[in-house]
Amino acid sequence: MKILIASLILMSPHEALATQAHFEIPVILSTSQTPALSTDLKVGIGVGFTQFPLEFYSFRLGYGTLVTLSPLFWHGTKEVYTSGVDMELDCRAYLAYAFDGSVISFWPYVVLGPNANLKVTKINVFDESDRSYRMDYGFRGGGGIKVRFGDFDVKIESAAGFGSQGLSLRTTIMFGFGIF
Amino acid sequence: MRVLTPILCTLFLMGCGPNQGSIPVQIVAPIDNEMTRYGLRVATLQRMSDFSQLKGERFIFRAGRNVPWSEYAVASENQDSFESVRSTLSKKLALDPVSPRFSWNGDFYGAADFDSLYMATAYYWFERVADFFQDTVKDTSVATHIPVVVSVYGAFTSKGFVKVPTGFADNSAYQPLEDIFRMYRVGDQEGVPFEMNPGVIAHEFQHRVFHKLVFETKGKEGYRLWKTFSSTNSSLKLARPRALLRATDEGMADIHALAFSRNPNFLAVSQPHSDSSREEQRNLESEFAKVATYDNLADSSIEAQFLNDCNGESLNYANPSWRFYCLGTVIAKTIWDASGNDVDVLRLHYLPVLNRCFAALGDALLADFANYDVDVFWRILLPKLDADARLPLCANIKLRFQSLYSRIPECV
Repeated sequence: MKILIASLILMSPHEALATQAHFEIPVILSTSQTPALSTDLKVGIGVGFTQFPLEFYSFRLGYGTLVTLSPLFWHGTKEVYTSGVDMELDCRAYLAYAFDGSVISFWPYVVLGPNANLKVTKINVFDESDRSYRMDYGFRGGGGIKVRFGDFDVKIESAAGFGSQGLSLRTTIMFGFGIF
Repeated sequence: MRVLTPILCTLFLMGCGPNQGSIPVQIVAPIDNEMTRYGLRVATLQRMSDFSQLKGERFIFRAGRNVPWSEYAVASENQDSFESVRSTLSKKLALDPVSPRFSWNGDFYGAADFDSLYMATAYYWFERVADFFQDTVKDTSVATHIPVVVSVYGAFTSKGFVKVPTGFADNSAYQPLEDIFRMYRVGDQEGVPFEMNPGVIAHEFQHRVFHKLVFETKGKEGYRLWKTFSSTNSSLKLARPRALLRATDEGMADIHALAFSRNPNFLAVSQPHSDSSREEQRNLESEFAKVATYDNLADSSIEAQFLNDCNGESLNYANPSWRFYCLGTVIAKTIWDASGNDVDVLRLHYLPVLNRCFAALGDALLADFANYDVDVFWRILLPKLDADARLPLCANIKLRFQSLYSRIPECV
């Protein structure tokens, strides 16, 4: 492993390790579908950072973490419904390829990493209500592309997941400033 | 602790909460005997074989699909029995397991989203209704003794490249071709969602009982009879017996829903702000139920407002567009009033006897479907009742089925 990393560093045309850190506050729109029946749509705000400590030619190897907070949409009837909040922590490793231009940049990438999710659901039935707390965890792997227009970034990603909720497929759109 | 338990369970990969047998889960349930007010309660789902997929010994929840109506027509072509149709349909329409989300707080499961709450509540009421039909109605048919699939969401669609779902929300149904219950999404309804309404589930369950006893006890002949009864392409000559038999089926479903829920207006809690007179038709204490009779619906002499709510004139029940639920209410009301508006009398003296009539009704339909009228059903029922139940029923038949009364020697 050390020989591999040393070789990659020596191969790099850059004199020193390039470190690109991105502090991110994206707006996140994602749909997640588990096998049969269940499709979630989440709209949330995230905060996190991504760093690319390794660079060789145009490849970028990095890691990051993101915390996302999303409201659970009201669902049901006026008298019997659920609402709540969803909090997700993603830790991810990235391998990207940078097509950097002066006006626009494209970074297609693959991603892999664990995630944990806490869902707090409020159940309302006429005059009564209660809360349930559900924790899920798993791994996600997939790919996407980040496009940068000047300072504005858009990232579209699809990732397959496996974890305590079984299999899932998530498609995410993130946009904001400073996302990797 | 209720917050920490799911987190700790997950972190330490402990098995959290039961997955088989008796499962305590939070559901939407009535908080009064007449099932008019609802709240959150912890109830027990029984005989679960896999709670994570809502699969039990009697009910199996599956994710519904959007399927064109035409696929059903194709599946039933050149078939001669329910078994052969279902074998064809199950290959085409194999359903996937559901993936509900619950969290265990140490004492019971709480739903993590609305769909899961909806499914858990429906599952509980299906079990209670099945127990009711076994223990109180004394049904011994396969309807209460073999497992059945509940298809969650999904819809019938139009044919073509873009499959437009039709009638896919705010409803519930028994689908006899596949022998499944269909549970539809919540759309814009108010109040208690339909599949959380115990009366609605009892209504649909009775449709299954009716179908199994009237048609499926007759083998291939029963399948042909059912095709004649359910086909919309058949001769208009059969529109009348079709409407009358549908009304009988709906009347039976409503009277069983009333008996289970103890509420003559069991639909009201799912239509709380409705001012629609059409929705009031199913209320057995409504003005419509009090004034409607077999004869004033047949000759359209009932008040114009009620006529409109039944989709106009029945033309002596030969109008295929006429709303047969209207006559279903008359049939249910006849039995309800005969019981003295006493749910316990209804449960003890009428329901078990009604159940014993359905197979005989199937025999009568096989002999002469084209001339079916409601007096055929009364004539099967009346001899089976004890005198205390028969006399008030005769009195109510005379009140509401006057033109048919002379055909019923059991009363005259």
